[in-house]
Amino acid sequence: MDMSQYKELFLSEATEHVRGMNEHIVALEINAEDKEKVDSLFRYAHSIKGMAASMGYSDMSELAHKMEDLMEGVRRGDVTFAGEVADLLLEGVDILQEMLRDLEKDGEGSYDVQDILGRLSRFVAPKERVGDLYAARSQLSNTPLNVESEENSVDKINSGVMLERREFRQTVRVKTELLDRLINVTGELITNKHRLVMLERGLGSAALTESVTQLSRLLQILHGEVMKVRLMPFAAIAECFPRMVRDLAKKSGKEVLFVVEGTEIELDRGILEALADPLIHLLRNAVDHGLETASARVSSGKPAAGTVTLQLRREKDQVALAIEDDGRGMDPAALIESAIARKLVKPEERGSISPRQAFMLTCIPGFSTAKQVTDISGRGVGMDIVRSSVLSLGGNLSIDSVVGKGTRITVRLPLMVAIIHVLLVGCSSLTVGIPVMRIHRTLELDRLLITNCGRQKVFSLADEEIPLLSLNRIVGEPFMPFTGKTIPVLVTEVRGKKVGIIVDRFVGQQELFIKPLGRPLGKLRVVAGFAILGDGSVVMILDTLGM
Amino acid sequence: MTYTESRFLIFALDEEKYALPLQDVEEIVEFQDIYPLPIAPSYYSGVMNWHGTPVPILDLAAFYKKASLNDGNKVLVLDRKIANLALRVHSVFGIVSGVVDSAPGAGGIDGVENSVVVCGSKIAVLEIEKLLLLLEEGVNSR
Repeated sequence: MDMSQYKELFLSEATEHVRGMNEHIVALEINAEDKEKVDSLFRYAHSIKGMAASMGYSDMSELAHKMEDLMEGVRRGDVTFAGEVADLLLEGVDILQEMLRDLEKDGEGSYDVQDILGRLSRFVAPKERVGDLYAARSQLSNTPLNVESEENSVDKINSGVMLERREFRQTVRVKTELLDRLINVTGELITNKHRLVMLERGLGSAALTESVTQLSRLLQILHGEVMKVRLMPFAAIAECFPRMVRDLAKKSGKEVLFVVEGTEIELDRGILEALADPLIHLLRNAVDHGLETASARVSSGKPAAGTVTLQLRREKDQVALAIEDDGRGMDPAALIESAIARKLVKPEERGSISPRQAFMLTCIPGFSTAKQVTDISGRGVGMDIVRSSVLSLGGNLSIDSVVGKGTRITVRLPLMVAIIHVLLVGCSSLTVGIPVMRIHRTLELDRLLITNCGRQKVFSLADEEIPLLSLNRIVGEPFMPFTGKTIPVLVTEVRGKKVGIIVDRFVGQQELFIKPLGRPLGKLRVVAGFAILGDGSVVMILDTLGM
Repeated sequence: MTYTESRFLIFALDEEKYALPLQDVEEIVEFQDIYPLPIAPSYYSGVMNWHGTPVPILDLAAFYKKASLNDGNKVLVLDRKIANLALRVHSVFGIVSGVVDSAPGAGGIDGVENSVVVCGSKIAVLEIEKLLLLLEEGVNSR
């Protein structure tokens, strides 16, 4: 199997994590009380461990694991983040960087890590290991040696900085940013084109009309090409999962049947990149925590081999990913007790937590239901990383589970990059846009055809009775009584049912570049994003699905 | 808490002065044409076209339930990495260097924990992350 495309992804992500570790260690050395930085440093180490393990870089994975252990100690308060800890962690980061550089040059990424692993281990849970006193003493006698090697490492670091600067320009991340800019510029060109079209209409020059038409055609081609450049099949990241699941299964002594669906679906590269890491965590959790051992499964009447399914679907403007296992499931009550024991939930709140909320407790940093730390999926720390990366993409995550039957985690992500056809409609003084793909049809409805069904106004369309809503009410504008003989109505779908929406006027159709609301308005109901019109004004794009 | 000196942007809501860590501010612009932001809570003034990017504007005084200042004429565009948001304020005084000190509830705002001393007076430091969390909580409150 060709691993090169995943390797590039891995390198760019790992390099980013390592850079983050460098920053955080230095910051923590200045202020050791910053809990958030402690948490994210821990997560960086955890992510590198996971990614490296899935790529088969065992030295890197082991080193990151030991660094993660040390950070866990810091997090628990067993280890103080003093100068020595920072030195050791930075040394670890330098080695990680060294490994990444080696991999970049098509090396194996291997490194003799035994020395640093030993020194990292000494810090972990010192209270539990009396024997470490001897180890520490023997380390003392080694001190001169360490000084010497530190001198060497200064040189290494200096040369490392230079190397990194050079490589920085070659990373995938930069390329993706460039592509993003390309898309942005294309989007703005299309916005500008509409402006030109508006101006051209007033002038009536045949030559101008001709060149504007030509421009439109070229822009359409450009748009198509730019979008295609960013598309990659889901397989680009999904192909390495079967191997990963197999290795995980072997390591944990479980039998796993792994099914992937939807690998042919093409997705925006930015989404794929952002998805890789969360998916690895979710699959690890499914195998390690979700599935039972073969013997436990047989004795509860299940087939010996557990099934893990990864399914990708496109739902109009969204991507829905489901990771499902038929394992032991999660017990909401046990999750709540575990959260109480970790002081994440107050005991008196026990009764007011629904099962769905209980499942989401697993997404709180520091939460874990694993009874012991394992090499495979550690402490369930993955869930908070998964959730925060999904949220930062403007998506959401939900968890369903039945004890004894299994767990399903669904991740929904919006398509980040979008130029879509929008119908602009007026509603009192407002203009808003509605994606054309959401609209079944538009019509000028004769007001005599409107009848009452209880309190609900309805009208008949092809023998179907369709309820009527007012856009004014949806967007919170004052209701205007309609005066004309006919009323502009668009027919759309709300929660799977046809609905007519009364608007004040149809303004027209346009191709618009949709920009996300971003933080903090990202979860505003009904609104899908903003768009800028040819005259520079900003309109809201409504998502009728959320009405 | 370590006492390190950092730079702050000092601005005012009505008479009261507040500070924002300078690195959280991308640009200060004049209050300009804005477009309506229906559905969003009423403490948003609207959305502006900021160099081709739609950026929602929060009327900070209205949000903190101080008098809404429709004459607020400065807009602080927040760091794009933190949020897609701009804060409408009354006026901007300038940039100062100072040391952060703890001062819960300073400036009459819940959730303020720190202040910075400028010319002998304590000025409440707004924490953007906390503000964003509150805004996210209330996003569908209209």
